[in-house]
Amino acid sequence: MAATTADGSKVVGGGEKSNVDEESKMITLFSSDGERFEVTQEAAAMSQTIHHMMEDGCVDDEGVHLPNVGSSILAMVIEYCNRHVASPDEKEDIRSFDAGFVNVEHHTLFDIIRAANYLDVKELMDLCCQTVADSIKSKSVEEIRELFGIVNDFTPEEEAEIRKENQWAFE
Amino acid sequence: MAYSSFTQRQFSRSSTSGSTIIEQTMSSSSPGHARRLFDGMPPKKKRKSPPPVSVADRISALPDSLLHHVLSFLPAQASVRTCVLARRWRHLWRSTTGLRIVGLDDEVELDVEDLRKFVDHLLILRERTDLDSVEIKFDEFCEEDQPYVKTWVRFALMCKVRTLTLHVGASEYLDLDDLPLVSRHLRTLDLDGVGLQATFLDFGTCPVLQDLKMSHCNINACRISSHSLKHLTIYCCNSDFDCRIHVSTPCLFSLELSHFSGRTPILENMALLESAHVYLSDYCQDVCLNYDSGVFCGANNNACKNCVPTEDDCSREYVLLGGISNAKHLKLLPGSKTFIFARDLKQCPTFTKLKTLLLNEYWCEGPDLDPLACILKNSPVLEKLTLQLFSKGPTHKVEMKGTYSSVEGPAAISEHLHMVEVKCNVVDEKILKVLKFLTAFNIRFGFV
Repeated sequence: MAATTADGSKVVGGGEKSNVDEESKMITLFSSDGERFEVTQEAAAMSQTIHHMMEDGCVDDEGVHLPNVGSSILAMVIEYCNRHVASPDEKEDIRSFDAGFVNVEHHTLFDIIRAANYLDVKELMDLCCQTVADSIKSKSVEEIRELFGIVNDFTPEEEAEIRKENQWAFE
Repeated sequence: MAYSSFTQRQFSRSSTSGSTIIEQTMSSSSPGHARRLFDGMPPKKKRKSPPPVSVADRISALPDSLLHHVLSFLPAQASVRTCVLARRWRHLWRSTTGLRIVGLDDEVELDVEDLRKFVDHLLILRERTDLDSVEIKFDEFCEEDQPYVKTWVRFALMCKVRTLTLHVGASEYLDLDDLPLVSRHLRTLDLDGVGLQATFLDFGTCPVLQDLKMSHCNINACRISSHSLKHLTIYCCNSDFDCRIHVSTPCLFSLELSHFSGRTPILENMALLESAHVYLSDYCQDVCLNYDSGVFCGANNNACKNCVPTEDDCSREYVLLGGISNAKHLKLLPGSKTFIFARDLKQCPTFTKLKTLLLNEYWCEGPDLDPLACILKNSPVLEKLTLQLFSKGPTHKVEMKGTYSSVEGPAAISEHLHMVEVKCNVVDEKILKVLKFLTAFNIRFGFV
């Protein structure tokens, strides 16, 4: 979906090439590793963080620097936002897009969660957190540990004590 | 990669002396060496910062607030059970921002009785934090359970909940008290299978309520009112009262009223309305019992009991069309015998902002398709008309698209109209009658 324009900047998703295109006003975002992304203001506004910056007039011609978000994750967040502003009413299509979007490795999901949190994109946060919760939902404690690589640092006695303390939840 | 360097920095923030050894081991790229180091480490009792986590465990490295958010999506019981995963997880369940008081297994029927002991412990042992969302969902309940469920609802409100969902899947309604719902924080309310009384439905004490959804509810009130409400859905609800429910929601943005059983509610004016979807099925009580193909019995002396106006029927005012006359998008799908729209059309309001309109075969009744003609005449800026005839969709066997050129511009149709769709299953004489009517307006059709 990404194309490179003459000056080397990446245009991701459905954005227009020209910065002076009145119909879809663009904004430039910089990832932590210095990559440049051109996004429509509408898509960027899905991030409440960026939206507030735009409203408060804190965005200059240069664009917005996002030191907490790496380029590959930022590209994914932008892809999500572009898709969701493009046709918000087509519920079936969006559902299948979302399902495909979260079909990634867990560590990528966690990175997206952090980015969505920092950028305050509620729908994306909820989607990814729901996905992680779904993978926890019907598993036993041991299966959850294995899935995420969680090391059990309780002693057997400590674990037994906690299970007893919260017996009401294990019945 | 930005994130891999981030997690390595987190390791070095740990206060244990083992941390620098871990960093050196990383660069020596020998996993066996790292494993041996973990084995030799003594269990720690107290930590000031997040403990060193294994290389693969990225989830525990997420900050507390994000883990609380993830746990909020789990059924509460599954969320509490994470307490034994590892030390990091021991107390996280206590501060989640959402509570889902639902069964662990969607397949199993859930009794309130099964939930009570667990919820009692949960609500007492949790931290006293505010809650963003609370969901309560169960299938069966008995009379002794009702006070508990009502207390859980009060608890949610006391925790300043913003989204409250209460779904009762039982064959009986769970009656909520005839008391007002008081909350300065509640924004979204989703109710299913509950009985609602008058005081509850006056949402003056919920000044920020924006979204209200009532499905399969028993609405025993004469009025639903809210000055803040933006989205309202009344789906498969009913009323035991004979009077019409007045829906007073002046700031409403979108409305869905479908399958209402009983007298059709009266919609008071909604100046900000963008879209409305009204589907009146055969359960609607405003159905003429002597209906005979386009003729309702209200005109003659042998009016059936439904056609006789009730005392407070306000038969001179609109029931539905007045309230929704400001909408930009309408879907109006009445059942064949309902007389409400016919009555409203007698003094049809002007749909000054209406751009898209979806109608069914009801509007094409009568020799001259009067209802359709009337509404088209009163929609001066209409851009798209869709007629769904005898076919509920979403797919239809026959679809035709027509274009309209306003060169000759008859006054009876909007000059902005650029798209007319006709969707049906079979092109029979009823459909042909409609097409003939439309072609009189200079609309040319083609099959899709």
